[in-house]
Amino acid sequence: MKTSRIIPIEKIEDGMILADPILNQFSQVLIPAGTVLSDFHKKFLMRWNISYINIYSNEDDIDFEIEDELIEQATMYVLNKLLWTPSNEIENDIVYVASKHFAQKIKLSNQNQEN
Amino acid sequence: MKSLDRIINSIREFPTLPTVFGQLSDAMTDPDANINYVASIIEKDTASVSKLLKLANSSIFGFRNRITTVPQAILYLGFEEVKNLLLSLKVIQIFRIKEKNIKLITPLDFWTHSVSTGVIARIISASIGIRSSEILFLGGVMHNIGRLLFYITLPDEYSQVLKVHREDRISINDAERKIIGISSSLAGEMLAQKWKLPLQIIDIIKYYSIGTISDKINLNVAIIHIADLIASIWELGSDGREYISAPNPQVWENLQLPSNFFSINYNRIITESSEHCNIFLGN
Repeated sequence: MKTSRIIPIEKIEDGMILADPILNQFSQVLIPAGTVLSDFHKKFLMRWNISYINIYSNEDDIDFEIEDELIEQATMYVLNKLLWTPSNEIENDIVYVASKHFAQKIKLSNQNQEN
Repeated sequence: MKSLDRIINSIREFPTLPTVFGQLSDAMTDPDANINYVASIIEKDTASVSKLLKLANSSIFGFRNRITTVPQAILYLGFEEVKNLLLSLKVIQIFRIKEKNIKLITPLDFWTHSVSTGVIARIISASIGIRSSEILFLGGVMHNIGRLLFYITLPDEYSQVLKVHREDRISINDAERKIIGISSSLAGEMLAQKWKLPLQIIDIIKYYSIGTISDKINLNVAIIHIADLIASIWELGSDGREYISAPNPQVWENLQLPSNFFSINYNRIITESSEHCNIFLGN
């Protein structure tokens, strides 16, 4: 399932996407799932006395903290696999994401070894 | 016996696709066909039904456990999608019977790469707004069947191929042509023709490593070209490759993806690939 998290309505920001529909006491849909939220929705929800909603987590961050050396190590690993040098923005982005992907794996395997 | 002859014989000996696909295709193109009739054909294969329902309820479609019967799956996903999912399941099943013969790679690694390629292809196609994205998942799952055929039929030669690929740092396709004489794309094309797979799938298998068809744009081929690249670089499974060749620059022009596309979709790609692999490759 897509990852989602629950937030208080005060924290609603424009662009967040509703994961579960908002229902009234008759189970009628007030705001359908998938709606891109805005200030209007925030006010609407406050009027209906709704305190928490479920939104989809942001997908643009690989959010973990990793030491620079690990990222460097991972980047070298990735570049070594390529039979070419990345030469445009999207190729660089792919390598960047790959480096974080492998850096996380290295970090996890280091942690497992310590345990 | 020459490698090519052994490949041809091996393909000849491969089982044909179960007759259920012929029946399904006929039923689906019959204007009078109804959902329940099509469902009854599918339900004869109980092993596939439970996996089909799990797939229908997976996050990629967003139905969240509401689909509990085959008619519902057809209703919500459509005939094409259901047929392609079943076909993917069946092809993997056919190959897994021959699993014991594969020594150079684990089938789990291989199919993880293929299923992940399918997932990534579907995600790319959704962004571009292609309407017939069902064929892309199937294309991803099938794109590498030629290489699997090589692993099964020519293990000694392929061991050489991998050696040359790794030691000389040349593309795996070049290593295949050098040691075996033909690339796995061509072998895959032959098997796909035996199975009378849709032309779009045959084109994907034949041209995905190039990215275009005779320099002409073909979105399916372009998408699988990139999806395969991502699955390989991020090591979502493996097809034996250690070094990855440059993408065809024309493909970037054809697809016009935003430059941060893969950063944005990283989590989704990882989550949906694992989910799909668990369903396809689990028990």
